[in-house]
Amino acid sequence: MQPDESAPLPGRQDEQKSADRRRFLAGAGAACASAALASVLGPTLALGETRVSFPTPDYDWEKHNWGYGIDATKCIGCLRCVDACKNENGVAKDAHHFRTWVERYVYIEGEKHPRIDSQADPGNIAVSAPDASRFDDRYKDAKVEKAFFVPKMCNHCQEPSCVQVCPTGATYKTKDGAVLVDKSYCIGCQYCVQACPYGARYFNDVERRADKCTWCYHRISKGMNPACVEVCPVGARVFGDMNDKSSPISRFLKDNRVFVLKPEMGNKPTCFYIGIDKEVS
Amino acid sequence: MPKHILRLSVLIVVSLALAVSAKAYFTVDSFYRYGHYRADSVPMIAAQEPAYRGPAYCADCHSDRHGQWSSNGHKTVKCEICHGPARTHPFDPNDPDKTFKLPRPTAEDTRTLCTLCHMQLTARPLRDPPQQAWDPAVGKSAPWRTGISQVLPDEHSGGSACLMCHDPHQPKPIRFKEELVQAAQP
Ligand code: HEC
Ligand code: HEC
Ligand code: HEC
Ligand code: HEC
Repeated sequence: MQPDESAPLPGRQDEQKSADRRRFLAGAGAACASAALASVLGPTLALGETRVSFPTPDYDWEKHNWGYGIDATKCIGCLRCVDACKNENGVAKDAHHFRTWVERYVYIEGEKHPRIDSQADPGNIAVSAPDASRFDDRYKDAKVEKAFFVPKMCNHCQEPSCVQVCPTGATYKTKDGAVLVDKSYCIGCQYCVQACPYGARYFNDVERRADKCTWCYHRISKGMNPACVEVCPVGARVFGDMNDKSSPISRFLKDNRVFVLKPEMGNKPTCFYIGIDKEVS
Repeated sequence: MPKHILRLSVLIVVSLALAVSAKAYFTVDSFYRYGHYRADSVPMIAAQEPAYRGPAYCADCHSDRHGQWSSNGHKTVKCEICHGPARTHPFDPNDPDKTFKLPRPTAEDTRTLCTLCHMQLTARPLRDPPQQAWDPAVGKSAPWRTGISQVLPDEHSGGSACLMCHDPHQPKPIRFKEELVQAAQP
């Protein structure tokens, strides 16, 4: 159907006004287009400049590739790593908020599956409330076949699912391998908490933000070890630069056959384990 | 081209341009610099002050304690495990006239402190004989032992504080802390 040319359409009545509007729209369009172009090209051009050290003048993330090793055969379950992590990073000192934690696996004679508990277990809280700082001795009269501790933490995956699901770009993988959270962009939706196959993230109820292990990014970028590695009294936790062939982690990877947790998830962790069992995930 | 199509196309182009430029305007500069995140947040995270300073820091002022500790059985047990994070110790950042003290565990405290690591516990690996292996604490191959010596606290100490017989900075050989021995006498 043809529109009726004779009908008085709004906007048709004043030809002069219409021309003005068109000129304005064209001008606005061109301005917007050039702004958009500039915003796309700007960062690209800036990259062409001489590179400055990032993120700090003394630390260039392009030069490092961090990795983390955990030797479960050495862990004595003293939980000093958990305590140090909480002190270092201001994590709530209760039984339910952790950036790193330790699990106990106990295989009892005649039972098919191991019994697993961590410091968030009611029995352990009972002997160490309020800060859940020790394991209880509940198995002293049981017939234990095999038992060990497994320290757990963020695996700083190469394919992190938490980063994939974040709707605001508040969590990301740095060039040196850490997965970090930008607290001011996090909206507290907890999607990432759900997405992590390792349960490594927790929700900070005070700040209303997702929180997680950063490998103590503020320490490693100053040449120090993460706090948990710093305090481990038995060397169960190993950290270093995988680019440096003589670093503790390179030696750890060279001297041992390492596992990662849940390889079937395809997350490609950069936390490597030795001395864990088939039931550990 | 019919006029209404032209109008529609102009409208679409203009809205697109508006949307793109609004996004450019509202997105902070450093977003997208390295990826889908705000690059400026990395230096902000890196700027946090470390709380744990390491034993080398203590050595400057407590050289005697450090020397004793580093040549004895607890040399892998860092000072700050027992004394808490040093932060700005001994200086109080808020008040230059005051000192920021680190906790000094009391005799009573040592009963809980020492048993964190030395209480006999299922899953806790026992002390192995020494073997030559890579020692991450030392940074080279060294006589390395795994596990930890464990005691049944009540049987071992007879209810006394660990500090009565062991110096935490030199746990072996044992020495007796007189005032605690006296206090333990009936
Ligand atoms: C810059 C020098 C300095 C450094 C470094 C230092 N201290 Fe101290 N420390 C002091 C001074 C001064 C005092 C006495 C403070 C007071 O009595 O108020 C003290 C006291 C102490 C006390 C005793 C508190 C008491 O109640 O008796 C402990 C424990 C202690 N420091 C541990 C440490 C540890 C652990 C470290 C390393 C992480 C460390 N200090 C690093 C200067 C230092
Ligand atoms: C295993 C736990 C432990 C470790 C590790 C430890 N301390 Fe202590 N420290 C104690 C205890 C317990 C006391 C209280 C001793 C007392 O009252 O007799 C103490 C007391 C002190 C004191 C104050 C009184 C004194 O005897 O001089 C200083 C200073 C001190 N420690 C420094 C250090 C430094 C420095 C290190 C690391 C090189 C360190 N400590 C490592 C447990 C520890
Ligand atoms: C953070 C864990 C931890 C704490 C807390 C701790 N120790 Fe130790 N202790 C160790 C380690 C690790 C060793 C070295 C391995 C071993 O000898 O079993 C050790 C060794 C020892 C030894 C044997 C030393 C030797 O030369 O063979 C004694 C005795 C000892 N500790 C007593 C104590 C006493 C007493 C306390 C409390 C003041 C204490 N420990 C607190 C971890 C700890
Ligand atoms: C009444 C004195 C006394 C008290 C109190 C005491 N110990 Fe001991 N402890 C000893 C003696 C003696 C030895 C053997 C020392 C040696 O072999 O040179 C020893 C050895 C140890 C060892 C090393 C065992 C080994 O196999 O080498 C540890 C660990 C230990 N004590 C921990 C503790 C803890 C933890 C406490 C506090 C709950 C404590 N001690 C309280 C006297 C005491």
